[in-house]
Amino acid sequence: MGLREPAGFREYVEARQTALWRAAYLMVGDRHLAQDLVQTALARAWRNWERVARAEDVDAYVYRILANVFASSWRRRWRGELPSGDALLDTPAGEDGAAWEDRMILLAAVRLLPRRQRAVIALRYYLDQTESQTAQALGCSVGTVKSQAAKALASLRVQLSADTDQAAETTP
Amino acid sequence: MNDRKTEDLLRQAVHAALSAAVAPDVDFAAVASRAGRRRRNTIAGAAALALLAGAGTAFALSRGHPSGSPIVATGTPGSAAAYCPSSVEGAIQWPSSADKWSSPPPITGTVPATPVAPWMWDGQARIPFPATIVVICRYAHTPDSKLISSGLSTDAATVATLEAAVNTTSGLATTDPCALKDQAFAVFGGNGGGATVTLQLTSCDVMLMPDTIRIQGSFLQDIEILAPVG
Repeated sequence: MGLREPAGFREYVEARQTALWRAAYLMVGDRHLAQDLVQTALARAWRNWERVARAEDVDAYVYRILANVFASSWRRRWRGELPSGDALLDTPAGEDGAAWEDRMILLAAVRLLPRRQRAVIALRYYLDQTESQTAQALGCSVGTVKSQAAKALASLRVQLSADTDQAAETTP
Repeated sequence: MNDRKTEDLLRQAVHAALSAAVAPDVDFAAVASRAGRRRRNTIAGAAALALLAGAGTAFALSRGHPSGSPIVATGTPGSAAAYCPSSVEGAIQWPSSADKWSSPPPITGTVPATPVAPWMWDGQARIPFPATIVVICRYAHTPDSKLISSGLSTDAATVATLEAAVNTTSGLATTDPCALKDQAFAVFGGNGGGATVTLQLTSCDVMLMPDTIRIQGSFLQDIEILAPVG
């Protein structure tokens, strides 16, 4: 029983690692936890690659593994921990500072959402999964996905409005 | 602003927010190590299960039907089709409270109004209540994902046996070469609860998804009795 790398696994990972890591970051709000989450999900995918590769939609299958690892890992190790909110990235040279700040404010607002809403945001709005695919990934109904997405949108509106108001008040 | 437009704006904003984030390269050696670590744990777990097999089996059977007695279907095979989500252009319409099977069926037992228990999120058992009904829906492993069989049972011993098989399944990963036959889900309901488990049926076993955990015992044969294909 060896640990030979499954055929096609590396090619898939190299093509998708950025998307997987960014989605994981949305879920956990910490770059190192995101890396850990992706690694764990990929280890599961590795073990079952023959089955994964035969799937009609390989991406959806892997996203589902990622979401499930997020759920079960949270239960096992991350209970009670809040996302650290580490700096995701430095301001790129030449980029407008205000635009960069807007991005960070949005990500910070996402970090404040409950974990399942963060998972919905990652799957629906970053990985562009359908409501049905998101429901399958999260092991819940389409109705739950819709309601979680609506709650997340409402929370983000409130959070981002508060940030805008605060910025307006502090502007001389 | 309507919801669709808000969603589109959020989608754009999320993509933009992450557009400059540089993902670390995946460490393939670490991934391989983790894959191997799980496999070793699996071997140890299998040995422990073998040791406890006698007691475990006795416990399972005490809740279910007597050894060797058949699974009891309610109605004829295919009769549960009305409770199974349809497949539209290859996409199975995942359960929601609007699906037919979430209404009381014209048989004994009650399928709950809230059909899906979020067990994976709450640390509950997969089916955290004593079910009184199980509905099996099987879909072809083809691009159209059409419904190919269905079945249900309200027989107490049958439902308890299937529920116990799912709830007592643990981390027994597999790398077996069994051919994937079709996908299915089993809906357990009753006593104020509801839970859906997603399954992959292969030529030799049943996998609990999305973790690809093998469900032990006669579960595959039981599914074939309840919802036979062909």
